[in-house]
Amino acid sequence: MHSGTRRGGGAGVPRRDLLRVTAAVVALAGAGSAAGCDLFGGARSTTSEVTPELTDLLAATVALGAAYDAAIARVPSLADRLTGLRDAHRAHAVALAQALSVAVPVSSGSSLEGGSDAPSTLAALAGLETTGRDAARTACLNASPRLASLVGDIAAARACHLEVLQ
Amino acid sequence: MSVDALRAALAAEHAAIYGYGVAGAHLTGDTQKAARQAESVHRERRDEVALRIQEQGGALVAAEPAYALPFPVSNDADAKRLAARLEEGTAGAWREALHGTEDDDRRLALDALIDCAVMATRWREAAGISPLTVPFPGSTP
Repeated sequence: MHSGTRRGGGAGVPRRDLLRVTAAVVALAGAGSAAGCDLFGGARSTTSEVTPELTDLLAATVALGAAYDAAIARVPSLADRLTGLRDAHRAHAVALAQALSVAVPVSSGSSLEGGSDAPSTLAALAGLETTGRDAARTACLNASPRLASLVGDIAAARACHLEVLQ
Repeated sequence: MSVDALRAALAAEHAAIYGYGVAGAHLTGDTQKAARQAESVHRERRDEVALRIQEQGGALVAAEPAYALPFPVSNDADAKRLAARLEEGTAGAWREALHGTEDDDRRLALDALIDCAVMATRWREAAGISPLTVPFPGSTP
């Protein structure tokens, strides 16, 4: 039997597993990225990959996390809603820094706009996320093949954050 | 390389369309309408990626007659969870397509990844799944 298929009930029809289809997709695409790995399997960055656009994206990612810290400090009642999003930005910064073979920049603080109430704080964050999503989208289109998936995932995460902030 | 990446994404879109057919049958009202709209988006994207593959001289991937579901789907709650899984799955496929594509094909893959990730978030909310978002939506296991 073909790997990834199994027989369906009475009809005897081969039924490809929905999740196995996507797993096969990942395996197929992953094979193409192996050339970018070093002897021990770690991905290395090349000088040409570390563009100003990506280092700017990394700095802006750190700043986004700091903006959420400022928002939570300003409106503590939003902590449950915002902490996961803040942590996602921190995870993005770590992953991006690792991919670029650089250290995570130290945050220089946040200049979160908006008033002291929840609606204006959420609106200010939504504005930052929109800008951040667009920047990550552009960076993904310009990125090397090795970095495109990570940067694209960051753009997608920011689009999802906007759903939570609305 | 681009054709291989697109063919894999096409296979995932076929699976999602099948899955939405199952989910839609167990939904009613606004959620059923949302599922039908989402299925329509996947059909349009399937057609778009198939066209790109053909333009580049690649062979299309045919849809399977049926797909095994990740869990039994017998009611509204199951259907919403399935819809979330379908979008997470296609988001993953399009994420992987990013590093095998460039220019317009990468743009297609990126927009698809973003759209699928947002739809997954909406379905996770509809299904009451927490958290609503994950740090890497194209890498959801």
